[in-house]
Amino acid sequence: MTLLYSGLSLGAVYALVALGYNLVYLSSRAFNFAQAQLVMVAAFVAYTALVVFRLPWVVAALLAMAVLMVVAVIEERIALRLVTDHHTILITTLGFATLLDGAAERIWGSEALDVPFPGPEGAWSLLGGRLHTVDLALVLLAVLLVVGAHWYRRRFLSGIAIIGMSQDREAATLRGIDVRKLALITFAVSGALAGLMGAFVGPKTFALTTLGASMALKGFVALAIGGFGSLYGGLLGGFTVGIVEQVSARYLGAEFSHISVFAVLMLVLLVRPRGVFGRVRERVV
Amino acid sequence: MTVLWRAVRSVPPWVLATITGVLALCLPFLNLDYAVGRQIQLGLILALIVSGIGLSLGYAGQLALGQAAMYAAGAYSAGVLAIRGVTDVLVQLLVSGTAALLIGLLTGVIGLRLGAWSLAMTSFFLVLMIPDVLDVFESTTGGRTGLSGIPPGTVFGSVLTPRDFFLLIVVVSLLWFAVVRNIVTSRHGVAFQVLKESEVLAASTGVSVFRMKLIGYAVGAIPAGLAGTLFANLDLFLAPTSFGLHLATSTLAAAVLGGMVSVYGPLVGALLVQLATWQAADFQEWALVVYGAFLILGGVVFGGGIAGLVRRGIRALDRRFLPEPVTDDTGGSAAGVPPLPGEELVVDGVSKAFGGNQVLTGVTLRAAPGRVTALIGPNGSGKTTLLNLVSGFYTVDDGRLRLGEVELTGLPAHQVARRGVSRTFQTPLVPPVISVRETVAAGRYSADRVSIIGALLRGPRHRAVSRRDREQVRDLLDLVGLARVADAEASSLPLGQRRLLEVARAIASRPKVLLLDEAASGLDEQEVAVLARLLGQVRDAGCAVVLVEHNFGLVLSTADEIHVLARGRLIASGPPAAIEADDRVRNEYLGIADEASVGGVA
Amino acid sequence: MTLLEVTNLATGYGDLRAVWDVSVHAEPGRITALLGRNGAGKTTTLRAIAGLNPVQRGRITFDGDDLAAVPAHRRVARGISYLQEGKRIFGEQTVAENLLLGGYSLGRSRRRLEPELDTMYELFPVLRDKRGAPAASLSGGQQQMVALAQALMARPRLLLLDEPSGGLAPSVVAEVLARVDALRATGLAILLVEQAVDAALAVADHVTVIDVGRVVLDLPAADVEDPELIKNACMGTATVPRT
Repeated sequence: MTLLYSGLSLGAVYALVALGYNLVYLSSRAFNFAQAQLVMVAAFVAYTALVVFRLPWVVAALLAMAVLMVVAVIEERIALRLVTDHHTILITTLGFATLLDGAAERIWGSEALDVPFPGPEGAWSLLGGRLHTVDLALVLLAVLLVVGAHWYRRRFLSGIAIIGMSQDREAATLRGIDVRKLALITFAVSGALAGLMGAFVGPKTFALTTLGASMALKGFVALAIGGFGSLYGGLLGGFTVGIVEQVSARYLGAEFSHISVFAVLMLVLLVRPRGVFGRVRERVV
Repeated sequence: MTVLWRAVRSVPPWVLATITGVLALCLPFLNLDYAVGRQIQLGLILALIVSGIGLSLGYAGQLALGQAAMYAAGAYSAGVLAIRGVTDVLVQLLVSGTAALLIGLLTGVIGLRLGAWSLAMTSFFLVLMIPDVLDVFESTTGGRTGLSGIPPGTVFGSVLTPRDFFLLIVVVSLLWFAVVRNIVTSRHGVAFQVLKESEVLAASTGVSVFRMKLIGYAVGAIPAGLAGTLFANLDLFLAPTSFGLHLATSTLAAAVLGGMVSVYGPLVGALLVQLATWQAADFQEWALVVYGAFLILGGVVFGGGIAGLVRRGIRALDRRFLPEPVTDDTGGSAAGVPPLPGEELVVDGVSKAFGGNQVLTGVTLRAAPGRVTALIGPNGSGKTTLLNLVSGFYTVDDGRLRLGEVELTGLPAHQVARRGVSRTFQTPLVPPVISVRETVAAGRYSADRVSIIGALLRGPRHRAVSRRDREQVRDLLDLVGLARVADAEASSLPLGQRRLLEVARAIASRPKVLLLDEAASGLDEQEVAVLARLLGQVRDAGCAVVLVEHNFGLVLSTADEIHVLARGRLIASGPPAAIEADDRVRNEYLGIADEASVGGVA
Repeated sequence: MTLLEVTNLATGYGDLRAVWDVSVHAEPGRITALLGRNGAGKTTTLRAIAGLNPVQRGRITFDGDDLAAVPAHRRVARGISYLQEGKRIFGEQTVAENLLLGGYSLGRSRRRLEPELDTMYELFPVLRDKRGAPAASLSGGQQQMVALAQALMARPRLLLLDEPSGGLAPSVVAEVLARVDALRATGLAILLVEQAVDAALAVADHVTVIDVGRVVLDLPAADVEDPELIKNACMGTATVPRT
């Protein structure tokens, strides 16, 4: 059970990265390579706020959200807005990710920094396993945010508008939707989401500059399992990746955790290239 | 100045390449300072990796971050071989190149199934896994502590001195760049660029999109594998830290900096990055920031890199000093269309629905060789859908498609194209960057087939086909009156010329059937007349011409047979005079087929 | 009183100029039919009015204001609703969500838009039963009703209709155009692009025929003595006598 819990909590991290990918994909039809790097920077911001400035946790989380929102808006402006084709966006967002990696290393160094968590330190016994507060919080956060996002897109007009715009930007414009503004706002929200995540993920994984790449890839596997644009798919995909990683590390050895996840990705691409929840659409000339 | 520039421009490009090559071969004998020599060798090794990225990303359009992994695979296979006693570097090169190619093929076949993002991530994942894989095979690879004790390389049994090895690196690099040059200057290079700009167009010229992407990506892995062997023999020690994300991003940045759609751009980019790493002491600390900035800048402002800047500079000097080619607007010339023996296109009971929307229902028609068959009908009647079904972009729900005796039903677009169905597009698909001449040459892809290996070795078949390519392209450009703008960038031509260019490209494939989708739209009367004459010539050459057209005048004046579609069904077929006189066609085309309403409003 | 005034418009896509010189107008409570053969520039004219294509020459004024600097999404809020050809609705979303998106430009919350849906369901009863279904699952005629209801949700003053009868069976065409006819009574200005000339003439107050991007006929519908002349103009075979 302990293994399952730690798998789920790690999976929650990937699910949240996948949620960020999905938000940007739905609103801009683009893939934001730097999503995980935003989370990585957020963990450092949370560290600075909590440890250096000794701010209360809630304030630190809000600060991380605000900072990352600004960073995300900058990214949208320089790496997405000016570029039109999706191939190039892949390169420019990868560039932004590299830039964030480099900048974080310059500012915070390459050592792992321990981000404190406000909840009780200990772990509880639950159904024959040990569950840490951080783990529980992460899983709850992932489930809440994904359910919330799903609810938002069915319930609120702006949510409906984002889904409409993901299908046909021109038709959305003709219904009075400012598609560029809405895409920018959604991008900023994905940044704020990364900021919030940083305050939760930091305590779980430490703040570390090399965190971004691994989170980006596992988040992508979660997305591939779930199918692009599927919010619940990304959540389940994230949990799957987390559990696979933990189980393989436990039974096969630590060096097999990445390899097993990679095998899962290969399997999904081979068997269901559109993801378990994705749909196939005929291409149009 | 003009004379000087003209003299410079008259030097063929291979002369410069040869001079550079000869100079490079002299480098090992110059008794360079040890540090300088080492940096040059490392720079060349980096250049090999970057050149692979150029093939994959610049030409095939696939962002692949796995070059670092192929490099590691090459280095470790060489290192392990050497420790096991196989010290011959040539054998190691063969093994490491093959290993890299296999990894490329395997991850490419799977990664390409979903599209650009999944290939990027799959290959990126390879890099992340390097230390883990090395750990799994720790007894052979030394795991995280590294692989030491690699014996120095030999060639045919004799141990290489540092100078010999330097020479070997130069020779391997030169050979590889020659290979790249031969590939990208052949028709496959043009096919790559067409593919990158428009997969639809690539498929319609007979290029298998999946296969071509896979080739670009997998062949791009080979130089990384070779580079690995060279690196293993240079340092005689390997550690996982040499093959991380830092290398992956630095090589990508070098490719963007040098320019990827270029043979030598990657070389320049790699040498510059190597120089910066060596000379600027602070560079390491800021490297990631700089690489990131390069990638963003490369994507946003200077897409072509240094090679692009040079190319733009040359073009500006050309404009300044060389006489402007006069454009020939009248179009058409005495040159005739070569014989194009056609086949009958048979559409038999074809139906197609998208979701709940029935677009075509039981359409049956024939387009005979040596005749112009027009397909008309109101908007939304299914004309373009039928065209896309014939050319293989959609699959039929029901019914059959045949070309003479050859079954077309169910074939993918590039297979349909290879069997002799050629087409133009509603909005002319003319990719940027490539010239008018190359655009027409792209149409020859499926006419005379040459393998990439053939192109690379410049075999007799390649040379014969290249000569035919040149002749036929010249004749076709004469035919459509674009010979004088043959070297201009195709996408910069005005619309009327782009349409004629598309027709020339379509004819270049020696089609049995030529499909034209709204070829007259946006043309003025004079341009329509040129087009009509051209179509007449193609018909007389024997080809079956199918015209989907809004321009009623063009249809009436050129068609031998007209089919009228309305709401997905064929409502009338016949010669122009009969169709023009058919009241039912008039009413379907212009109004409701309801007797009471005809003429009932005044 | 003229609500929409298009004067000497030239527009197109990049260097593909589809409209060279078109003038057309629309008035409240009146239907202007914009006719012409395929490729004559009708859709491009509508796109320019909606703000999707740039005005290269000429002027478009709405309610006296020049629209040149108004982006497409703001024109909807001003009262221009454009129903594109080919039933371009949001197929993956439900009928109700489509209608809600239609009211997006009103700037209201979803809760305050819901009552508007009932108005539409009364106008198009078939949509009430299908409100929870994905729009793509509806029949062609029903999809056209969704598109029309969606366009009306914005409470437009000017409705641009691009071939509402396109690809529909004759009986459905009659129904759609009967709807359009009824809308006139609400004081809406309608610019109707149609290939079904007879059907369009049956409802139009004014007729403008364009060919190769230029106006070739412009007259009140009452002055149309022989619809065959209009048809000939639309076929681009004006010289061919009626058979």
